[in-house]
Amino acid sequence: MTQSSAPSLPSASLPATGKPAYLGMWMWLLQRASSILLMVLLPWHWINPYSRPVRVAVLFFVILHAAAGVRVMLTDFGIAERWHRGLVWALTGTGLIIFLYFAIGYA
Amino acid sequence: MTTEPAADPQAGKSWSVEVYRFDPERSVKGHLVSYRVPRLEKMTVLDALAYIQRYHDRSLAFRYACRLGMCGTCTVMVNDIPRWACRTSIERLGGETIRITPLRFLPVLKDVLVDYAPFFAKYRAAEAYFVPGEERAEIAPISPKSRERRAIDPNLECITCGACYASCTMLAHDAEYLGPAALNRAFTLIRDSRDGARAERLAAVGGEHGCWRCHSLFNCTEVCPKHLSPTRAITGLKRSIVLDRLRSRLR
Repeated sequence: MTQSSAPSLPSASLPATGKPAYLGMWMWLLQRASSILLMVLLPWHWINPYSRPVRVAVLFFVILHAAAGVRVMLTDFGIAERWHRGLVWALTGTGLIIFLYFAIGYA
Repeated sequence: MTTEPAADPQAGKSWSVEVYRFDPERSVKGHLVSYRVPRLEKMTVLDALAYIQRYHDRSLAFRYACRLGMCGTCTVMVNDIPRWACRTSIERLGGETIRITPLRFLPVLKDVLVDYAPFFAKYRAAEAYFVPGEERAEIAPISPKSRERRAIDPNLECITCGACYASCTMLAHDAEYLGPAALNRAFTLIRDSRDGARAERLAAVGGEHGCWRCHSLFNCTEVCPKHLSPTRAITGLKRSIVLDRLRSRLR
């Protein structure tokens, strides 16, 4: 008599083995951290408006803060619910391009 | 005590499983205890817990029922991520050591066994139960292609395992927050044309500890073993509340 082996489970039937990235949580934390940093950097920028490192830092954190805010707004309007992780990367990439453009060209 | 099987667990051929142990009758604080569990083919976290209970310590408390991913009662934190113990392959987790702890934000009864009473109390607080809108003699015809069904379907089939609840960081900040599971259910009812408690339910979920507490982190969505998106439901509730208030102002 042939001994039958136990049926193998397809990978899709083990739903709880992937590791969550928690990208939304990190984006939220970065937004909070950037808001605190901006509370320091903006007065510093007003006192010393010609300091290039301060201008670059303000630009970086304003773009980071805005990108995280746009993510929340799009989510609240029901946009990108199914590809929320992709939205984080898309906004981060767009923000980085905007930052590099202005940091190299103007800041 | 049952005799351990002949193939004793040995280093390299076994996993180290750290399990949270807590007995309210003996101590006020829990601690992690490490056990060696042999590597068996397709071994799951639930198998490891059963092995520990059978061969190491009979007093280990944990909960399970169906053992095949239908009931969700075996949900525990595995390496700090809420997972169904019965459907989590230890091998696929990678690593030599796994850590099993009770679900976060729920009172621990013993070891990794938690009390779900606060979790279900929030279903009542959110009025997340069906209230018939009108008496019907026949089944209400709702097309699967209708807008209503398409709005509700992605958020159905929650089995109340509590994985989303344990991943929600807002519950660490506000213990009274209704949580993703109750709000998810409330959303499916609010979008259901057969339901008759829309206004009361929106008032319940729009309170201080309701949907406005959600920061749209998507942690609940990332860990849901049923691939539901409670965040989608919560943003839907927020929009419903805003639109209803706008409509009432315009009237």
